[in-house]
Amino acid sequence: MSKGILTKQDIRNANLRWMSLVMISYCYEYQFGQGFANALYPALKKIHTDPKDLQEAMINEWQYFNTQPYMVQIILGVVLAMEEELGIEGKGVIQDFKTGVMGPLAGIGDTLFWSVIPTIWASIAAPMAIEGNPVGIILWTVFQVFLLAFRMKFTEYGYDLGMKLITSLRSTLQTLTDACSVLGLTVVGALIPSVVSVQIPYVINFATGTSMSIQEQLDKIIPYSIPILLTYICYRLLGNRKVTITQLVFVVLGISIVGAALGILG
Amino acid sequence: MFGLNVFQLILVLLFTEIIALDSGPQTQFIGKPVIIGAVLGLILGDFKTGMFIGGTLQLMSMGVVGLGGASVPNYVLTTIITVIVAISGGAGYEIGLAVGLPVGMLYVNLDVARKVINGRISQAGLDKVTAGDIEGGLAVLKWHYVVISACYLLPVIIVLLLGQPVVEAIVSYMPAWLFDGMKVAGKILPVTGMAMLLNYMPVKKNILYLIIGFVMYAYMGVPTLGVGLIGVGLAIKYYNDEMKKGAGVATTVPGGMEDE
Repeated sequence: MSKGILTKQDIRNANLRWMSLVMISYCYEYQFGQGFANALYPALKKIHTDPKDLQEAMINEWQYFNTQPYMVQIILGVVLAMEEELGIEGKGVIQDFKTGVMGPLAGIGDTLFWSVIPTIWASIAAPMAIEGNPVGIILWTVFQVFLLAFRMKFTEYGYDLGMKLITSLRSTLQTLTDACSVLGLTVVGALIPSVVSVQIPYVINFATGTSMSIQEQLDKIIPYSIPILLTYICYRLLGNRKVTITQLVFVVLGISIVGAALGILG
Repeated sequence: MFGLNVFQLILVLLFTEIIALDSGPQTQFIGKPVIIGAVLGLILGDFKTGMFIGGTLQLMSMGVVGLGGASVPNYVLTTIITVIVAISGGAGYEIGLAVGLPVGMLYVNLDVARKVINGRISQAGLDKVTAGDIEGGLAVLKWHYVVISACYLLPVIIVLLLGQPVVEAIVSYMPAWLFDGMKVAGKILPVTGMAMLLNYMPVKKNILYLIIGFVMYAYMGVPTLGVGLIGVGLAIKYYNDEMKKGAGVATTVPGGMEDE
């Protein structure tokens, strides 16, 4: 489908230019706009031989754009195919396309790359590390290298599949996102009791000489009840958007200090 | 300076710079607390403590991702500072956390400032492009590297420069209740990460899977990796079931994407 202006190297180059600036250039006004334009520049220079067109295309690509950064790598390829195919007349279509895919791609990208994958690896690597075993850390690092290698190809996929990729995947995108969160939720279900290790060491001493451990009684009702309760409270607090994560951390610090001082938490 | 030799000092700063370039708070490649803790532990000569701190902070930071450009506590910076104070300051994990956590929390303000400055940089670049100087406009973007480096290196350098007396003061004045409190906080704080994570997931719709995971761990004693494998199976089943339901509507999936 391409006019053959761009070589594989040009496309890879755009991907590398994106990856080198990506998150660190984020701003409120243009989000990833400048990173996007910067990534495409050498390729656009080849496509648009008229300097006026080139300038116009650069300003167009600089505009507000934000989705999950790994997903941007695919969009870079699709946009390059469109730029090459449609020329400067495609300006409006490209802008519409970019705006249209922002939401759906952020949905799947955030779920997969920011939630599910890090959760799974952290649940393997962190408990091992705490026990002094570096195997999980090494495996995660190796996985990251493979993921990086895979991401190197994202822009090429996007370019090759062009528009086809996004349109045909659109209907399956939501299902794929939901399936990912099924995996994520299952892991989190096990993670809450395994990483939140707080207990109630408080023991009630009766006048008769017998004593009762609160924790033992709670465990008889349901194991790990304290972690579940705390997670639920924090989940609700954050969900109402009245409390930010920073405030929550300070609240937890306060509760911990008071709880430890009173001997209720340990 | 915290008993670091010149060689260690250079490595710590170099590693901090690598982490800075690797990411904002949303890490791109190796900027994970557990990986950072291990590497810094290796540099500073106490691998086990480094791993322990990294692992603990990794659990605290789970789900804490600045989606859509939100500014969130920087657990990466917290890890770097906690490990330095704990190992080289000889202060131990609790005091390291007492210094590292506030720095990570205060970074939220720094991060907002950074993104505002980034906006000025971007605007200056676009102005140049609009005026016809495209290459000049892109050259302006190099300032992004300076800004992100400053955001990471400055807090670490400040702690390194001022840290020793401050940490010593904390060690000698820190009352037992604060010490115990930090220990408990380390056990509870992972909750905040879990809660954050759950807020991004369709909990109400799919609570069944949350319960399955919990029961497998809490009642049956299946390790998290085993639960993860069950999760993969459930996810595949969910995907296939849903696709069958909508088979009339769904178009064919291109071959290359199927195995994702």
